[in-house]
Amino acid sequence: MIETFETSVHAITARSSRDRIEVCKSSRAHGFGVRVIKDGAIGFSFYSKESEKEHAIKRAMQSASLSPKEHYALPQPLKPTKVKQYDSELAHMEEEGVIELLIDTINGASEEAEPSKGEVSVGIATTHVSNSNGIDVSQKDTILSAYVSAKKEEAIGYEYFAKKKIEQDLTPLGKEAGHWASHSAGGKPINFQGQIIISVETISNFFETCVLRNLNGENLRRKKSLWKQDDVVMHPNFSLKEDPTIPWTAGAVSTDDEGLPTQKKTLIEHGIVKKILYDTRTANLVATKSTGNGFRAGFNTVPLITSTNLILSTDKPTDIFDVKKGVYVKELMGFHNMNPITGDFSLDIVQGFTVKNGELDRPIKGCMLVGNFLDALKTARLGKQEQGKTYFFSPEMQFDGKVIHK
Amino acid sequence: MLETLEKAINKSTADFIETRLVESNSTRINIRNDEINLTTSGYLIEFGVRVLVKGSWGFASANDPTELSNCIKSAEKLARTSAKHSIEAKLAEAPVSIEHINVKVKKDPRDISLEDKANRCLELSKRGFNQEKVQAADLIYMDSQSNWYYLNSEGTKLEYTPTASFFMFNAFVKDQQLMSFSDQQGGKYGFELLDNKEFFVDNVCEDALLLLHSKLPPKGKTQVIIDPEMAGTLAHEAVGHALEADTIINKNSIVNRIGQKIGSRIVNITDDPTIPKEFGSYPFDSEGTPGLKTVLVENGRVKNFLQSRETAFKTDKQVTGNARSQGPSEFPLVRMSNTFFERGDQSFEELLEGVNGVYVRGFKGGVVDTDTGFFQFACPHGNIIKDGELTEPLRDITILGNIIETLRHVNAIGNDLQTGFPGMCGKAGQGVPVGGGGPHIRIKEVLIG
Repeated sequence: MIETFETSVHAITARSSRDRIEVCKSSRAHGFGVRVIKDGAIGFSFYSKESEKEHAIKRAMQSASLSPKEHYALPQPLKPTKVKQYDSELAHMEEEGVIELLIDTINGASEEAEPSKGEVSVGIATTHVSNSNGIDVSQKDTILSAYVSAKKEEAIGYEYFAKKKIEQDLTPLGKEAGHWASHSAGGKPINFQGQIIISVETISNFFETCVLRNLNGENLRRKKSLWKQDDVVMHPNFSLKEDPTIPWTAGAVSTDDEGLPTQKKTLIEHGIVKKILYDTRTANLVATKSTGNGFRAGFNTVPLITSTNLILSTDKPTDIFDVKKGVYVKELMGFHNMNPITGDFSLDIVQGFTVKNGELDRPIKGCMLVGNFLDALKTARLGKQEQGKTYFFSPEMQFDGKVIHK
Repeated sequence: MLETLEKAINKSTADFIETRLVESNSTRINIRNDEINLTTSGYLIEFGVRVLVKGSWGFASANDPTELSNCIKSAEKLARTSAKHSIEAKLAEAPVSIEHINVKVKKDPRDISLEDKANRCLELSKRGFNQEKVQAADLIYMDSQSNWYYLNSEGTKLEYTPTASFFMFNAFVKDQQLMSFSDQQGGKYGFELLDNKEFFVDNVCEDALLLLHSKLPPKGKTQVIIDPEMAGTLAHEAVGHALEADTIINKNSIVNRIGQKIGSRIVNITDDPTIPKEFGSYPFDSEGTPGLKTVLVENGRVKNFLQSRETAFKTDKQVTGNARSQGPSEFPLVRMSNTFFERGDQSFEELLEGVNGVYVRGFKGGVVDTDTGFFQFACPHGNIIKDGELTEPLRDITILGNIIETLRHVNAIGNDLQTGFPGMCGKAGQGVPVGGGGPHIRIKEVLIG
């Protein structure tokens, strides 16, 4: 049995420093990944020119001869999910358009602060998966991503977003970064214990670092996960869904990189683990089915279990800003420093404010948020308005926590 | 290959053009517990073209060599289109070199079969997996042999054939709770990298077990002794990044001039890509400039910044050979190579004498804000130091502080310089291999978070 994954990517990126463009670049890559199954064992290789195909297949066969006999079979064809993920207007954007969007972010950031760094990137990707079971699936994707930072005195504001549809004007993104920089200037350190409110970006970073690893089928199979099916892991009001079908979002995708349709699914319901994510190889090892989550980092890698869009929600939205005294944390720094297994963290607050009578009051700096995120999830509360700029959507979160002066 | 590249760039009308092309054969072996999970080998080619047109940069890359002429046109168009809004770039002089460097290793990975490589990896992973309380073990081994070509319109023509290898072992242990510890080694080695690594695997398992019985550290300001790996991190993250000339030009660094006092008189820090075998070593940077040893801090004062040709022109300094990119498909940026604290004159025992504080060992991750000088490093483990003795084990130690304040508090430096700690350094979305280290270092006061 054989599977070929072909991908072709073209991206135009413009990067700025302060109010000028540093460089504009175009990058193209095209290549193939080939998986073979021999006596139930998997082998893999890759190549970038059609003429190297035979040689790559030989290498993949050699790789299979060393792999364990897992009685693995490539997936069978299923009807693809229809998802809005290709915007022809974005696909036809040329370098002038990308530069214009970058200039928008600079102009926006300049309104209340000084622009610091910026980057806008537009990409088009086509993938084609075919296997000897009859899977023959192609998909096209577009992506627009942008990042901007602004400075005011010693304070920095950041904003970023990614989506699969064109935006005509990125001035508001720059404006927002400038606004946060401007309002963060003059921060003072504090010590505080009480209600902490964290932004959606911060929740997303915590999920990526210490939550998602516990919903990964391979980690569960190998006893590297803290959670299993039916464990109570969050507040009973919380649910976590994965939804690759939300049109134009960064995680919108119709099939995974094994050619299987993606699905909308509930991973956690009322705080209880309901579904674990699988690719076909891991699913086969534990006698279950793939959840359509086998994605690759490029043509030269095998599929790995990866989530798409995640939506954290609550049955009982609360006005989480309705506090007399609290702290709002917009950005934390250094998530790779936290313990991804235990959930213990001690992270610097890059942007934060005291909250007084339900309003942001004064900027804070020189402080750390300390605690355990996995514990916090069991007692936390979620706000009313869902937000999200990339792959993670949720209201802001409130929990009892501690801020210490450095 | 150089001839093909030369013909293509000779047609360019840009003021300056350079092209880099890398062909590489690579192997990757993943072992999970006591089983080969997957072996992968393949061949890749990548190239990038950078042009300067009236002071504006344009860059294009691809992995199909027949696209070379199109890439040149594309880079020129990008430079012209962005010219109105661009920073005006000019290049400092760099030596014009024509060289072919062939680096030999003890055990060329091409002479060893995939099966033999996989079996050696399996042997090491099994050894770890079979140890007490180990729930899961992951071993990753990678090697690559590359042909690296560089050519520019000033006449520099370079060919370099590096071999590199890397391996990482990760043990997950469990009793009441789950803990994990990993360590890695790598550099310009062949398959000899895996010779005599039984002790290394045993150490990873021992360190993982130690975490099960370790406490979280007491929070607050205290005297600290850092080990050679953490010293390398401090040199790289806290000092090296702040001395990258692009950061200084953009006013994103707490450091702003040569001669600025940033540490106590005993602090000496160097960046050196010429150390044989280190992970961050190279003969030429991504602009074709020879890699040079650069003294960054001498007796506590800034001696040099790290430079690319563009930043050297802007700061009116010499090039240092520190323009590096993740690969030929990426734009070169000012980056470090192997960055380390120079040795002092005290033994580890002398450093410990009379100290009450915390001993910090290893490195898990770090961030630095060069604007404010704030840094934060996570260390997997350490010990309480009580009256000069190492006592209770600690885990998940975060040390944080301000670069200048911390370096001024360095009050003793050991004579036990150790380098060879490989890592990947990230900047603007690009990762490059770096190395470094230092001796044990005592710091009068650091905040443990």
